[in-house]
Amino acid sequence: MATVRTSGNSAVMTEESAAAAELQRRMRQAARRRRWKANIPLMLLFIPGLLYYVLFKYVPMGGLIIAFKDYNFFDGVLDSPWVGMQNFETIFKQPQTLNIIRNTIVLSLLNVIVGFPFPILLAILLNEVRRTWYKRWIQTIVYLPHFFSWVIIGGFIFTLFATESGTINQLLKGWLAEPFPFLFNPGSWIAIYVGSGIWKEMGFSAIIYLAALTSIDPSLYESASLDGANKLQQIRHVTLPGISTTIVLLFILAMGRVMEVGFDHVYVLQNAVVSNVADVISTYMYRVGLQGAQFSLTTAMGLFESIVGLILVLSANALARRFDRGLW
Amino acid sequence: MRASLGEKWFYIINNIVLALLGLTCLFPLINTIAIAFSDTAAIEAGRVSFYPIGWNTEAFTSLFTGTPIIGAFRNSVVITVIGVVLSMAATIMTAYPISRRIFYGRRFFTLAMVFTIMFSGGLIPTYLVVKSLGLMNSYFALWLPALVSTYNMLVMRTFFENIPSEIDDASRIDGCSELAYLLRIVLPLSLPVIATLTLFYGVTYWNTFLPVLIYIQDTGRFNLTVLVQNMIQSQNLLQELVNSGVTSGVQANVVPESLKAAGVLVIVLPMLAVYPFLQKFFVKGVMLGSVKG
Amino acid sequence: MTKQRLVTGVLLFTMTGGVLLAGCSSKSDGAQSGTSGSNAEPKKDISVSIYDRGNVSPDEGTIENNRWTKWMNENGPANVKYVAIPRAKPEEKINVLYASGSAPDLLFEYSPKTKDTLQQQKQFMPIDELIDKYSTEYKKVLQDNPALKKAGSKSDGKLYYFGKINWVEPNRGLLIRTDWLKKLGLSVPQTTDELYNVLKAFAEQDPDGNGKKDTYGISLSSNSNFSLKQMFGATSKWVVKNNELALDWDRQKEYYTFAKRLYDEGLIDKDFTTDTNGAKAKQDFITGKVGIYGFLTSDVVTDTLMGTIDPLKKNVSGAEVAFMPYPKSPFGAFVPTFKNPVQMVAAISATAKNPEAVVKYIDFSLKDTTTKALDYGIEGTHYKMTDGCPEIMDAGKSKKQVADLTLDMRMLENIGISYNKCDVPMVAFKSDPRKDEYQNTYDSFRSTYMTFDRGYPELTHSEHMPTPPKDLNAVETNADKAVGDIWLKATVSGSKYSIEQAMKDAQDAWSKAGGAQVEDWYKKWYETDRSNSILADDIFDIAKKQNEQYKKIVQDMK
Repeated sequence: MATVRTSGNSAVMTEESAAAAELQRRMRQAARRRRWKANIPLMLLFIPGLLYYVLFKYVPMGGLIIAFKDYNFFDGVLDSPWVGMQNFETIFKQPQTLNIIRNTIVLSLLNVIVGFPFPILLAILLNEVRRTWYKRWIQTIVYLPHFFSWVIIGGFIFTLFATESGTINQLLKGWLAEPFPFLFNPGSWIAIYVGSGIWKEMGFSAIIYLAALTSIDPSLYESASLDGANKLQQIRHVTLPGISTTIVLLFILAMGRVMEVGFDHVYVLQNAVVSNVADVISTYMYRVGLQGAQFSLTTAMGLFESIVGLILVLSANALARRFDRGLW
Repeated sequence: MRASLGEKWFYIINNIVLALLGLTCLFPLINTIAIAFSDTAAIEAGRVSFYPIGWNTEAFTSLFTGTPIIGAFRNSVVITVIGVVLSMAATIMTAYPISRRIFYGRRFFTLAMVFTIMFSGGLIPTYLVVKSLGLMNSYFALWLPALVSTYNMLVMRTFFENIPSEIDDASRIDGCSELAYLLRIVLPLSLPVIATLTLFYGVTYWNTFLPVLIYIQDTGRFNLTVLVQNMIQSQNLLQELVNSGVTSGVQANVVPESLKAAGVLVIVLPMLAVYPFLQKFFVKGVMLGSVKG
Repeated sequence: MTKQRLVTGVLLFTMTGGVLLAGCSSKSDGAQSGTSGSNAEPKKDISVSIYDRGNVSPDEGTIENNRWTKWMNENGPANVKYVAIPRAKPEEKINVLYASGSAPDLLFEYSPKTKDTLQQQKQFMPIDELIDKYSTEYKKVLQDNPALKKAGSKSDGKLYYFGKINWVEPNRGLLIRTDWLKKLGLSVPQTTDELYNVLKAFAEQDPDGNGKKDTYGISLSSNSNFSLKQMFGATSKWVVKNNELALDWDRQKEYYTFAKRLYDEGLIDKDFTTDTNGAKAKQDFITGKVGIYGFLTSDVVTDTLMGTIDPLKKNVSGAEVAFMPYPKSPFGAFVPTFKNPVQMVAAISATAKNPEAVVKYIDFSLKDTTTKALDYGIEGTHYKMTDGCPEIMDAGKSKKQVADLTLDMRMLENIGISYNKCDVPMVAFKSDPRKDEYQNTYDSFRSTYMTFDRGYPELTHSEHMPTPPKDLNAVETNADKAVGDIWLKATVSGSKYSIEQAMKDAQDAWSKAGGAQVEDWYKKWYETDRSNSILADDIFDIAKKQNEQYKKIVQDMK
């Protein structure tokens, strides 16, 4: 809407600006139409995924209501009686619950924080290997432990760290007065737990980083080395930034799974002596939930875990956005 | 380009460190192979570690003649191959649109999908949905609920987004449609991530356990994982029932340790074979040269 | 379109809940008599669960479709569809089947917890009237053995579970190295104090004569631990005082003091807590590192003799062993766990459409001709009759074509009733040159442990303990764990943690975890409901009767 301006050229200006405005409008319209047209194939492509998420992720999510019910088979999901927050009360009133939640958080934060760099480190080291055949072999061997169950790996850990007959204690016989109870001392148990988890998964987790490393332009290395950068500096200034988006992505996703301290790993390694640091949500649920078919309790606990995970993911993403690397 | 002295040392130490790591990672496999070929008495006496004692191939003969392992192997292959194809297609079709800046609702959809990583309805609600779709006893009950892994999909999206914008602009100038851009430029440049996700989905489908357990009724359609677990758990039957208070009238179906080890090997060895094959696609500098002209 | 099906599905499923009750009552008055098996009646369809252990040979088919499933269908009263339940994690499969209303009509399951949880959610139908109207074989077994009715009924007074009478044998025992005793000039310990001395000697006086102090007295893991506890009567937390059920702390204290001493003095392997399945304990025994070994067995000839004693003798020349009765403790002399004489194994799901056919199927599976076929196979192909007893012709073939396939079909077999001379080891292993050795081992096992002047170490067999309601069950599990962890810590923490302190802490933890409500519930059960449960005395009664039966059989054979 042209307002009358007190200027000599007002009529001319309004005409020009009107024409300019009209042109801009047409261009925007055209751009919108182009965008709309370009979006159609994208939307069509997206349909199967959309259906999948709605049908197999969001519809079953309705089942979360059993966290607020006393679910039993006879009444089914819809008809089981409502109990409001009672399930949560039952869980949190148990004296061990806070301890268990604390253990879960401590163990998994350690896993994430201590464990996060190792696959990256491994990928970088592998990337630096000159002989292709050696690189391929090591890559394949190192990802093997991922496929063996914790029952099997646990057996090896016990053989290594047993107090009396353990390999490590045997080797250290000369130096130590008494064999060290690695598996019964809370500190060393946690170290073994975290360490074994890192060892088992690092080869497999490194795969993504290895793939990411291939997208770094090799000429960047050349120019860096010409500039006089040594290996470590090259890694710091070329490699790491090159895979930074992947690192951030995986870190944020790891935050979302913080409450998921894997059941098998802890169950196999834990023992009664360290239970006040080693009992976690999943083992607790196994003891109480599964054997009693306590679906409502397990769902309630799971809901709690999910909320914590959500908060962490949102926070991590907000932090990442500050560096322009947010997921969304 | 001659490597400096410092660099030479770096390479040597690097190789040694990796070799040591490799040896520790190799041990579970070596031990399992040793057990699979050992005599039960030696295994129970705790004597078997690096090599077989009391050479004994009975585990493999009973595995291949006394259990449906060959059929289960076939089933595992079918489930894996078709599953990977379906999942890769669906993942690409989901990751590509949300990697494009012009896509409507991009942020919303991404957030909605990330949300599903943390929140899940659980086993029984998912089971009810699958059942109501009439998928019981079909392998589609294994493929459809696991069609897209949000984790994998986001990895792919990140890769797509990392393709230099110059390529994108160039293609637009050339009048390339979205679909053509995807098929002719994005995918060929994304071979590393495609290989990676193929491996990830492959591993997941190969090792899938619980869905097969609850959705597949005919034991002849079971996969390797369920079969081997059945064998292993049968052994623990007596102990497990004892723990739940049952101790009698139960005949323990004794499965020798060597048989269990043989079963584990059949599951793990294909993984050993597949990865080197996929590593060929981890080709460096694929982007190089695609911007020119 | 998919959403519509989903809604329909969910509606259907919830409606099932309501229909079940209506269905139950209408079944009983709509029933027709069909007992005399007239040929004109068409066979009804039923589904029966069966475990899949992954051991069916491909040439035989699958566990749900093989020569025996066909045999049962051809010769039986119903069209049976066998529903395979994978042996790995059966609860997962069972839960989803019941949650979605597609449960098998007849569920076979050993675990009381699994059955009770389903029963509490009204997933089973009462079987009193069904048996009364439609059964002959099982009805008779029920009438002759009222314990079956006792054990299978729930608090509403109705019968829900089918069961069987087992042949009672000891389920646990102790092996002791008699050559070590001889070498050190000791005799078999009769009391727990003597036991301590023997264990100390085993650990410190180099009984294997190799000049190294590398032997242990016993293991504190798994079954050895359990037997040790049973000696003190400390395996259950309940005792009966003044006709009332009470929580016990004295026996626990006594036992853990004993265990702590063993640990502190290095008489046992200190890594026992990592030996969760007892594999290390067994390994130590069969390599001659441990003097006393506690075992759990379902068959003393195959498990203990062939599985433990033989390897020991092969690994250690000159090793001699014997079964050792439980030494007497300050709380008395006990026997080890006996096989549960009355075991509940099956129930009919509330969704079953043809429960009469299910009952008739059960009757059929109990018939002599059926049990013989399922046990031994086809006469002439798998076995031949010698001296009135079936003799297996080819062990490998029998295992593949009969035993592996029918194992879980025989879950209702009343071996306790049908046990006869053909089952005695000397006859069962007729063609084996070691059959006399088997017979002696079996007899020694029985005579060492089936001594009825002693007490049963627990209130009753653990399968007959009642299951408290859901929430109380959770409280109890957590309280038990808290207490158990404290005791264990005290055992391994040397001077830093005394047993007295542990007992105080344990009692504290128990009450903090809500133990009082658990005590109240069990006390009430003992007061009001125990006449409806199988207790230790009932077990002894049945065991005694069968013992006489066995003596007579052996006598007749001479």
